[in-house]
Amino acid sequence: MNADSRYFAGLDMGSVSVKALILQNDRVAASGLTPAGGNYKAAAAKVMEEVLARAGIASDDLSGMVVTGLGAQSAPWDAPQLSDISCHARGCHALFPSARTIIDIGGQFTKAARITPQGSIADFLMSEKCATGSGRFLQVISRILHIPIEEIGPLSLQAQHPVEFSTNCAVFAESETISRIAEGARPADILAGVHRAMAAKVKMLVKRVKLEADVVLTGGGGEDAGLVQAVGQALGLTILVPENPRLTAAFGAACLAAEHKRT
Amino acid sequence: MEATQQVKTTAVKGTETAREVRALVKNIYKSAHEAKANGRKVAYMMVASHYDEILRAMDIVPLPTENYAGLCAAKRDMDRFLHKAEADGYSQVLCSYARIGLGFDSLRKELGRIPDNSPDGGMPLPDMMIGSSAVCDPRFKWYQATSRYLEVPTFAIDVVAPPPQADLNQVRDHYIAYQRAQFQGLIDFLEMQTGKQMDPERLWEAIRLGDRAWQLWYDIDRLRVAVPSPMPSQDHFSIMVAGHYYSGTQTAVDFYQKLYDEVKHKAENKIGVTAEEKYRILYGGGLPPWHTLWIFNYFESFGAVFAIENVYRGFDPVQVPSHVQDPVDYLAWRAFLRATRYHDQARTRSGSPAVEKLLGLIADYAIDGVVFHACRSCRATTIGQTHIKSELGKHCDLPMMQLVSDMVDLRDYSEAQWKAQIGAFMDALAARARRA
Repeated sequence: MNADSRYFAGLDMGSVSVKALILQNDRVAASGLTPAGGNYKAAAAKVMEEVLARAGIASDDLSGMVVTGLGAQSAPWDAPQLSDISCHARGCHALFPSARTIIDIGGQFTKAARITPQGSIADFLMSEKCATGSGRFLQVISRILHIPIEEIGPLSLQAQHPVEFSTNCAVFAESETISRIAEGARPADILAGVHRAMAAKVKMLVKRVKLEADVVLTGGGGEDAGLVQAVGQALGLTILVPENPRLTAAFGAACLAAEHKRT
Repeated sequence: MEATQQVKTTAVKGTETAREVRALVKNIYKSAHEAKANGRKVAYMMVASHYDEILRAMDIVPLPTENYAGLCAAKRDMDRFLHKAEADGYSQVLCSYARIGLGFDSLRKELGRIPDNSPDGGMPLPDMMIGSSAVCDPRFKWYQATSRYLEVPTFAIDVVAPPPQADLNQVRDHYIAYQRAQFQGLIDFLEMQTGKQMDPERLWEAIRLGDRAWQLWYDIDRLRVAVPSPMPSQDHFSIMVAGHYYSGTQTAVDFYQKLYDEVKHKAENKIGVTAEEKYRILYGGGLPPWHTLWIFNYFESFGAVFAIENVYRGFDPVQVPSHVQDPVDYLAWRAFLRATRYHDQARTRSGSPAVEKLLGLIADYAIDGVVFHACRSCRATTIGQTHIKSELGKHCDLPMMQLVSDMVDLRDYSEAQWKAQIGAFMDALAARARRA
């Protein structure tokens, strides 16, 4: 580490992908992500190498770094570790200073947090051990419908008669989806139904932390326009979404690394 | 820490005296086996039902089946009993303590003997079962269901408490009279089973010992206001064995006296649980995760100590009026006064005795954050927890967190999720400290 440089790194080792971001003088110099696969260490090394090259610096040029995410303990660097909820909160606060509630829909869990005007956590909740409340549900449906996950959002917005799922369980929803396909339901309507089911779960979570506007939806779920719309409709308000929602925690981690340096 | 988590379930204790509890637990089952061998009566029983002293006065050896479930979980030997109960048709949403007990009795009936290698030698066949409506409904129904496997007499006692809004002056006599009749019914039942008459003097002696032990327990908890914390909640989850499973005996009094002396010494000499106590946590409610008690040491690795808890020592000492001269009347009065301890206070502020008690603990113990444990199969301690947390938030500005699993069923626990939550909770505590 170079104590005098102005480069700070954030590394978010999530269940689906590992994300890295470099801040230079509070501006994003480079970012990237790679699938976590079964080897967190290798994925982290790979994505860091890529973003450092893109920023045109070496790891020794970094002045600070914060690691977050479920796989943080596997990080191949001796850097401070913070919870991903805190990093999302910090990232959302930097991007949307008016944000008071954040929703992170990740591959493993969905989290809802109420944050202070200063960007720290006031209260938070995580989804239960249930795939319906996480991005895993979308992955399951994507596989059944043979639709790439990045196409789910745009397609679901074309729905005309969203399917009502009679279950809140991703496992049962899988068999229900197959039944609906057999009945001739359109993929767009099935996907919109999935989004509604997820939005209902998110709404329960957000209500428990006491919804306060503005609301930011971050994490991989933020890249799904259909899900964002469904959550907005369920909560009855407009949802703010970062430009690169999957990178918000890495961005927040880099911001926190810079803050730690300053203090 | 990671390397030991898979095999170690228990927590490192903060006090020396708490380490002696394991012998007390072993003795519960050893005493029951010895009693059976010597022709004494053994009873399956439910703690916190205010009748412990009656059993002691009648020379009946108590066999607390809930404790046995917790023991199986701490030994990570609960699955065979849970699976057996579920195979017999008991749903996974039913109380997991009850499922372990039912599974154990079912397996014993099927095998014709105590299941091999049962923790602490297993439970001997009881001579009777005494259920209770105190705390929750499974404690009332459990032994009725157990009758499917055991042909022994069963008695279920009703333990009542008025709602917080009740005018205590108006309902007091009725509640006490009803409770007295319930205790008398139990005594009549026990006299029939044992062929012996209750000796009032022996009952008074058991009450005196019970009250003395609970007073000492209360006094120990008052010492725990000290900073740094001289005794953590994981110790409380062990030392409650004396108060609940040895109530009405000299053993409980001696144990708490020894613990009191140790905690007093630690408090006076500022000997804390951790080298650096950064945060003082209140265990706000819910049964402890017996399967993973090391989690309290995990909190301590962040400098967070559970200074006090709202579980198990469910009653503060109460003053029964001096005109009460009959021991059974005394038990009824004591049960009523214990149950209504926070009622007046609740009416003047939050409306909830539980919230009032928590607010008192937060103030007295200089609490920085509150953690609840929601147990999927324990309706009594989980339903209302979200509401209590929400109500508490109206009267104090502290980080709060609700962990979800079960008291003994490991299938409801996720280590990754808990660690992620705990990480965020620590961040919230740090942020609050910075704001302050």
